[in-house]
Amino acid sequence: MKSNLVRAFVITLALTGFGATTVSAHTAAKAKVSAATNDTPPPVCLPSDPTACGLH
Amino acid sequence: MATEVLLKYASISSAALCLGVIALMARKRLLAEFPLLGSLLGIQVIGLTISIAILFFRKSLGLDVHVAYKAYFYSHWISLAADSILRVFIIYSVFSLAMKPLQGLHEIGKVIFRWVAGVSIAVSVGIAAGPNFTSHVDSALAFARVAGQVQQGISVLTLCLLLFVCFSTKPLGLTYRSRLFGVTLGLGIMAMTTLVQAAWLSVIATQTLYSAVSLFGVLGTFAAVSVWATYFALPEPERKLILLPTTSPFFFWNRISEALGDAPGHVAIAGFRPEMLAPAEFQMLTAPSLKRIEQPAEIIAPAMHTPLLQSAAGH
Repeated sequence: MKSNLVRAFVITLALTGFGATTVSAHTAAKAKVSAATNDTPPPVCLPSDPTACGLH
Repeated sequence: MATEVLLKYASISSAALCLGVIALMARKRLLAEFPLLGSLLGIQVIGLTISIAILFFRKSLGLDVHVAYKAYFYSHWISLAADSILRVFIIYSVFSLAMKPLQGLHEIGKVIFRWVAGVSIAVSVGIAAGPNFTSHVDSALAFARVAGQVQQGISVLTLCLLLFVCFSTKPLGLTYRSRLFGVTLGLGIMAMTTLVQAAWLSVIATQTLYSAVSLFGVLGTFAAVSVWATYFALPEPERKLILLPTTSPFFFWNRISEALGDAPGHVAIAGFRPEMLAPAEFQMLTAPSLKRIEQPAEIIAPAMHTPLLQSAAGH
């Protein structure tokens, strides 16, 4: 039972990840910066951005 | 505003948790077993410290907003590049540790892994520099796009490794309580977070660092590091005795893989002359034939003394 739960969780993780890949692949042309790290907020604007990407 | 506050506390908690896991690993002497994971956590601590300082304490530090953003932008992508390289090596080391009992598959897997990693990087660079990528794009953005594509490729590779380890625990002698599985699970959570973040960023037009996407990413890191903390804090069960049926594909393919790459034997099919042999070799090779030539005389001589042959000779 426990192992089935672990397997189901892993499958969910993998399917979510793979599903997200298809979304980003379809919309990659529109995005300015198409990816991000997950440990720090991604800087989605250019370094010369006049608003400094909303930095307070 | 609520997102910003949550982001602040989530970032501080994540940095503290990363430091806690490094300390736990050092105390349990696990840094020798997982040195690359320790380095990854170290890079995350540095990245989170820079981001906390710039995003939440910039005014206190007296930094100009544009200088601070530039510093944040470059430090983020440099940290991303280091993070991606480390993740590739971690995946490789996890794969090596998992496949240790199946030496043949381990060796062939290493070759496949190198090819997959090489092709993934080439494809990522190709996609990033493809038709959608025009020449007027800023070089910083170009680097960001290449690094982002590479990171997505690595994340897919991580999820594939997680699926493999999850469904092959028995032939690998692992359980779901093994640290190796815990490390892979944490990496899988991070990979999923990265891919969802990339998809999310591609469909929304966010222009701020304090967005829900950022919060999601930090929470993903927090979840992954929590998994590592749990697995490292709990005692690890011994690697189990691996008992496979002879019909197991793991056993079968491992035997085949072990034979692959062995130096082949050689056979002379033409141009051989006896003079090519050393005297001792020649003697050894001819000894059985000489024995057979001598044998009939020895066999016939005692046979002549049998009563049947004697009577026949008398007649």
